[in-house]
Amino acid sequence: MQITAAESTDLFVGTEEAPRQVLRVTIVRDTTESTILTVTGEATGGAEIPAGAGEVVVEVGLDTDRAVDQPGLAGTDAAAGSAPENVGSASANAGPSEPAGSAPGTTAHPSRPRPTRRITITAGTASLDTTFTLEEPGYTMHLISHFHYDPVWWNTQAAYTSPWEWLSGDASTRPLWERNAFRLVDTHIDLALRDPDYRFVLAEIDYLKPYFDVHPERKEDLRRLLREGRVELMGGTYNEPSTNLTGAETTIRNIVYGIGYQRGILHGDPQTAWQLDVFGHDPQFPGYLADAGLTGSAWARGPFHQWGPIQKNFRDAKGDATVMQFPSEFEWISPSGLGVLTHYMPNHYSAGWWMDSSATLEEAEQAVFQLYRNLKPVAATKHILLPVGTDYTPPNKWVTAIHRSWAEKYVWPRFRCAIPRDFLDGVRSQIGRPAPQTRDMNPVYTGKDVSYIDTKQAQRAGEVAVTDAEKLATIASLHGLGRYPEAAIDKVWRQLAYGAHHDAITGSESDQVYIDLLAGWREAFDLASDVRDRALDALTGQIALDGESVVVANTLGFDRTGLVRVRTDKTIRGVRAVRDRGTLVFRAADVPALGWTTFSLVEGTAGGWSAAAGHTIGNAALTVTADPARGGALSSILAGGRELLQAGEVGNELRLYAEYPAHPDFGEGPWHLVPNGKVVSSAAGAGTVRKETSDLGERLISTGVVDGLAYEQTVTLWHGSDQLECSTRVLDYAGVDKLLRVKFPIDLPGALPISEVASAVVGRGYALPDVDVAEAPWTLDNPANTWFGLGSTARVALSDGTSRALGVAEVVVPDLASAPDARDLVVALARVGVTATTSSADWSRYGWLDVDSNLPDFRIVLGGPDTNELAREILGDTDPGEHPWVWVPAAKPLTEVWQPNADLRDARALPALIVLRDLPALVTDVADATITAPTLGANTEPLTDGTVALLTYGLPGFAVDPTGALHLSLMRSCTGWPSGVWIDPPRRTAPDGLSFQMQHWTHEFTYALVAGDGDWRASTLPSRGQEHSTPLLPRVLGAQPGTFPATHSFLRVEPQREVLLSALKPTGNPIAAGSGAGVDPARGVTVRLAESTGLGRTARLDGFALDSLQVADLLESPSGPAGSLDLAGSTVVTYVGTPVGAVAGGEVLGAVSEIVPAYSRYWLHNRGPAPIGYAPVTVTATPGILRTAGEPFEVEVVLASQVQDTAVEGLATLRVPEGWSVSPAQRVYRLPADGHTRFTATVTPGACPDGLYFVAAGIDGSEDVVTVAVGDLPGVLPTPIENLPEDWTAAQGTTSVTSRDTGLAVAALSTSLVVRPGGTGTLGVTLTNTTRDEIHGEVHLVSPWGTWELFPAVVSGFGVGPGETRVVEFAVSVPADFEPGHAWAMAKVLWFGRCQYAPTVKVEVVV
Amino acid sequence: MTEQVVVAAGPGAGPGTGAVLGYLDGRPIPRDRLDRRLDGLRRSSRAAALPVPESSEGRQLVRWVAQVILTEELCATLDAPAVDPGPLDPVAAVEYGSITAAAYEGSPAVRAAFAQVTGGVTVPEEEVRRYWEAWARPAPDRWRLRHRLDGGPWQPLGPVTLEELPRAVRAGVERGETRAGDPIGEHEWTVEEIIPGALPSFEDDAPAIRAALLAAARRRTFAHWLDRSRAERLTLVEGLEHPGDPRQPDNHHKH
Repeated sequence: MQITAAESTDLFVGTEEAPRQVLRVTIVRDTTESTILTVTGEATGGAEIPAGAGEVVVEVGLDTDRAVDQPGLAGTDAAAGSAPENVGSASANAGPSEPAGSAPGTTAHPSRPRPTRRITITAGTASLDTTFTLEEPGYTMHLISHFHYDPVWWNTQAAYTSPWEWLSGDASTRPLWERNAFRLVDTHIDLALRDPDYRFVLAEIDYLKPYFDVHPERKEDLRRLLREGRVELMGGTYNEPSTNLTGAETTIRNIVYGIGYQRGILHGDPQTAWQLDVFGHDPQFPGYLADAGLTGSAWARGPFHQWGPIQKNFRDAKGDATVMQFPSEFEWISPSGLGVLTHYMPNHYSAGWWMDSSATLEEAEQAVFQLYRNLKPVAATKHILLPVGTDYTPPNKWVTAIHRSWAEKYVWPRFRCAIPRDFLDGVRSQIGRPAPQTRDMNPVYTGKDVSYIDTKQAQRAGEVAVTDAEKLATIASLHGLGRYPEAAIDKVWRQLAYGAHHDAITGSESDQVYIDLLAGWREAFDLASDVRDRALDALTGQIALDGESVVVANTLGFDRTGLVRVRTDKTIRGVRAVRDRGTLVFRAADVPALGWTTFSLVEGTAGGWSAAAGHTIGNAALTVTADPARGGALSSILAGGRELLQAGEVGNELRLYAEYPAHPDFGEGPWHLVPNGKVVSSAAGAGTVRKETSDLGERLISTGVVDGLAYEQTVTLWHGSDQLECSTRVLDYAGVDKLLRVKFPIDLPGALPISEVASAVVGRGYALPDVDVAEAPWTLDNPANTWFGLGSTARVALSDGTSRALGVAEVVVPDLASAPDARDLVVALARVGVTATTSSADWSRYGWLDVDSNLPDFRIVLGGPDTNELAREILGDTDPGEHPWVWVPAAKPLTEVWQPNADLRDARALPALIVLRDLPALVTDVADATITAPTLGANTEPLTDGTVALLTYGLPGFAVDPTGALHLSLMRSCTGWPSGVWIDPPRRTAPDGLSFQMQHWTHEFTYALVAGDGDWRASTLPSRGQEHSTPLLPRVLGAQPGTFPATHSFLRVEPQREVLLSALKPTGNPIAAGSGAGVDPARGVTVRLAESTGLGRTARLDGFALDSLQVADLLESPSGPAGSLDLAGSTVVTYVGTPVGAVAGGEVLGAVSEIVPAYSRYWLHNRGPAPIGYAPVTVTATPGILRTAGEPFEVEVVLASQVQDTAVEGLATLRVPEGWSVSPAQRVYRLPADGHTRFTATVTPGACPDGLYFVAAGIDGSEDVVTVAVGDLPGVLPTPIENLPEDWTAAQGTTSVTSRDTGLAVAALSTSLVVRPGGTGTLGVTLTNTTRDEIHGEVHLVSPWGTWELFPAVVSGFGVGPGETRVVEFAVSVPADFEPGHAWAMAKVLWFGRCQYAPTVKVEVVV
Repeated sequence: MTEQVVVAAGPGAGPGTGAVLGYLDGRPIPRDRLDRRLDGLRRSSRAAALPVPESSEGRQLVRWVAQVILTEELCATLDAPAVDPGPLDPVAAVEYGSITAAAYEGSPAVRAAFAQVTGGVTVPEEEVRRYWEAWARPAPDRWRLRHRLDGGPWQPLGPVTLEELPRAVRAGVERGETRAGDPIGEHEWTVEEIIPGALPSFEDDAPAIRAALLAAARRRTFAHWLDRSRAERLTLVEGLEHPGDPRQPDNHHKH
């Protein structure tokens, strides 16, 4: 008998009360008889060595004294590495509720020594003296079954959502996609019904509503499983939105609609945002969650690169979660100070899925055990979450078997099927105060900020239109000028939420999905603009005017001055104006907050622009010079006599970066920026520069060609303005795998990058745009909302009279147990814009670009050398003196160490504020965004106290490099998959035959340069960002009587520009929760304000009388009297009140329905959310397609209601072809609240020729249609499904140039159209019905943002009889001032569950 | 995945282009079967939906088809008597995953193996009862009416519960009347039949439950058998690994 190995494990047998830790002993047997093995010494136990020959491993459970070995080192186990001997930490006092464990919530680093016991192992004649390492019992790993669902990505909404019988093996009307959401929901629910141990989660509204509309009976199964705690509705959001790319209100409504559906309609209890795949997060997001009453969040992308610290990202996988600086459970806190308990998935959201392919249960168990070992070192408590699922996955084969078999073997750790609530409750029970993290969870995927740039501009246009529409419709409604258009506004927000999905607005989608999404953004914009215009017309129609006038309306909460463009041939009395291509342009001064002012129109012609000599323009604030020899870029920007550009450099320079088609190391497509290091600059060649002057200002127009890209850049200085207005037009472009940026190299030493994200302003790190990603993969481009720049959001004022900017902090506590003590400090820092990672001196440092998705620029070390080992290391022998905190400059300036593949972990790589005592005083000192400190050394990076920023419109991608250059990403042509993928044949492309992702059409990008003294607050940049994105709205009106004065403000938020008006709307969102109650601003109004200085302000609402003003949560439920409106720094606060003196009356100020009948299975039309009104009552008929030789057949109809507060009664009708009969032909129904009914109709075809016919089941406003094939119809009916791989084959889309017969032939009237400014034209599609029955549906004309004005109406209904051909036309109308260029349009035809896409039409506007 | 990867490239050829598409119990399976199958696909109506052969995705398709063929070969060694258990329902196909589903749909030998391997699978009767007790629901009373609206043609209505009838009709039915008016229109009806509700009956419900549980258990047994057999008996070659194997170079995580 030989004992060849003895290995401590962290497995326990025995009972919870008396767990015995397992020692694994390897023995080479010298007898085939069973033998006894004993362990004696400081730990004791015994086991039977089984009979047999050769080597065997025996597990022995050992009893031992688990008393405290190392007082002071509390802590849950902190295991690491693969060697079991290295696993574990001290055991501590056993609490009564915790099995022999220590006070959890504090984690010691794995390198700390663990207690050991001396033991002797005896087996037969063999014996071994060794040590046994004590481990912590009590761990539970929660196996969370889930499937991640993207409603859009490479595949279409229809294919991802539901199966349909019109499936064709050749994908000619629908792709084959088995793992759609309906089938996945079925597989998960079915398993839960069969197996009482199975637990799982459901999440997104984009599949929940369709599924329960079609399968309303399943609500009962769902609710039963909810009650039993076996399913959890995750999210509390509409979907998984990319909130760092949208405005704050879009995010807030995403939460409103998610909670509304999950709680109000499905009766779930969503508590935890489930944002698995989101590519970085808006820093305010956790605050919004908390304000909406959610208590947690869980997600897999944020602090570390794409797949997290364990998996491969670039080159070799780290395989070690402890590169994280903090535990996987923490409090994620927003700059508002609100936060939620958050779980970050260190091994990605698919971690536990892959054991599905294990050949045996034992192998699957070992895979799960290894995952436990991987995750445990960073678990904050003894509760660990293992996500078991990945994209579109059915239940895992082994998960419930492991749940059962593991429990039979071991008492600890437990592996059990669970829902996230079980896990989070467990964490909460063990953690008093989680580690506070305000860290920016960005940038993660840099390509998302610029791919499909036109969709980001479209999103911005929609957001601005709908917030304007809400405000104006609320005001109009309160004045009796119309009823509030709740249904239209509801649809707009849902479209914006849908488009904000992390595979939509991020530009990650295939070409066909892009076309579908564009139609949604256009719909959102049109519906919102319609409401805005109706409301504004109603309001301005009541202004008393004594002559023809221009009323200029301002929808923002502060008074403003700005440029207005009016299409009139007259001019303004007493105001300087200019005529530009037939449009009157003037500067409207002092337009009151949420109100208007009026200008008199008079006969006369304003002057135009005149050519002038020279290349320099100027106004009182700025003087700007362009250099034709350098592509027309700006060679000088003087602000108050100070040159803003670095010496020898040019500004507004276009730079075209060559990119790889996909990342050279880790593949993948449009969500990565993949530059290869080669850049071509517009300044490298000559351009032309024209100077023009007018009464209103001066401008320079530069044109040129860079690397084949033809551009025209206009920079304008308006008299009276202190902004440099810039427009860059990409006239023509044929490049592929190119990224276009514009660059302003700014001379502002010591300033750091800053940006607005949603409703917060935060410091951001430098970016590294000029790299080859094969060598340096992380460029650190970041997203911004309406502006970014160079300056400081906070600073430290040093004893030597200099300052140093503070951007992003690492706050280092002595050990993780003391992390909660840093909460007040990190919140104070975040409020003023300094995000922070709270780490500990004995754990990993923040600052290694190889793992971190962003980097810090300074450290705050809590505790002096006596308590904090990092303070000791930084200070060395230096005496810190008597001040409570001291500043220790870094060894080198930041710009020298912040280089590609930066590693800033060294103690002296960054400056540090060492806090020796009196932390509360520091917290107080931070509140004014300036820390005062003595410095122990020279400050080599003194701050220049100024700010230079770029205001942008729908251009989120930015980079500020370490030289201080501002780079704004304009556009990109990325060939990486799924660019160019088209699903439903025939494949469509842009007019040049390439992918739409190439963006090969004319683009215009607008931005403005702002420079000022002091920080961003001094320049009130958030308000300027709002101005830049929100145009003043002019109305030309004749003389009219009225009650409103010519200059008027309805609501002014004071202090102006420091507290911003985010939303003004009627209180409540009843449609969201399935209520038919309706909204009425007269009953209540919601006002949402955003504190925009970070310093805290007391707000005042002027001009708007509200009774009983109350503070409310984000869902607009009041929580108490508002009192004085004290807003802490960076908070977003919702108030509700009752308007005084409201008057009712008028028509609804917006659309109340779409084209009727609406097709009830709207998702099959790839058109985003449900029709206007959110389809509260639905009808669906099955099967979707059937064949008959003429014999009768049955159709099953289900009517479902999501209305929660009333029953719905009505009449369902069945329409059959002429000469056919159906019984019943109509059916009266009553659907109780939340109810449904189902019935069968028998259809008897009459004598008729072979062909396709349609049977429609309809209720008020909507219908579903069954396709009936009479006879054998080869070529028309779907071909049999052949099994083919799903992902990698289907995801390539189709290359077919033809489509198979669907029954409707679609052709374009022409594939090109040339029009002149001021001209008109027509686009059209020809629809030929080859069936035997009538077809009706809709045609949507899709075109990119920037061309929408050309096509005033883009939705048209059609009906076409059997054998008939119809033409559906769309008017084209080119405004006289429309800039020449080219783009495209495409008609999408939606009918009876099919989508067909007409050939792309090239549209050119030529002078 | 757990397949062992060995190098078996032919002379002068790249990975996955050798003469062998894989080994079953050490026996080489000739590559030409794979080529023929691929050729068929490339000629089929789905050709337009296939990836370009030289691309990474094209290589993944080859890997996928190789796994389907190996699955078929593996099952064929059972020499099971031909039995057709019927087509796969879509939910079952989702559970199996595309390789097994394709092999099952396309190969009688795989279906025969399914029948043989899972022929002895049973479901404990207590499982059937547990399921029934958890999910059985009583059937409510239901009415069958003849109904017409505004004097139109008579229509069958039902069986429905009274809850599903417009309130005016329900009230009339309960009062024994035959006409009522409401905003929908003028209703007329006659009650044809009242179908009494019933408590759930285990005897009535059990056969369907038993069948559903048995089908699920058989699927799981077959999937486990296939996984184990593949691991024990198949040897994959470089270039024809499982497409989902994260170690092979064309397996790029897409998100």
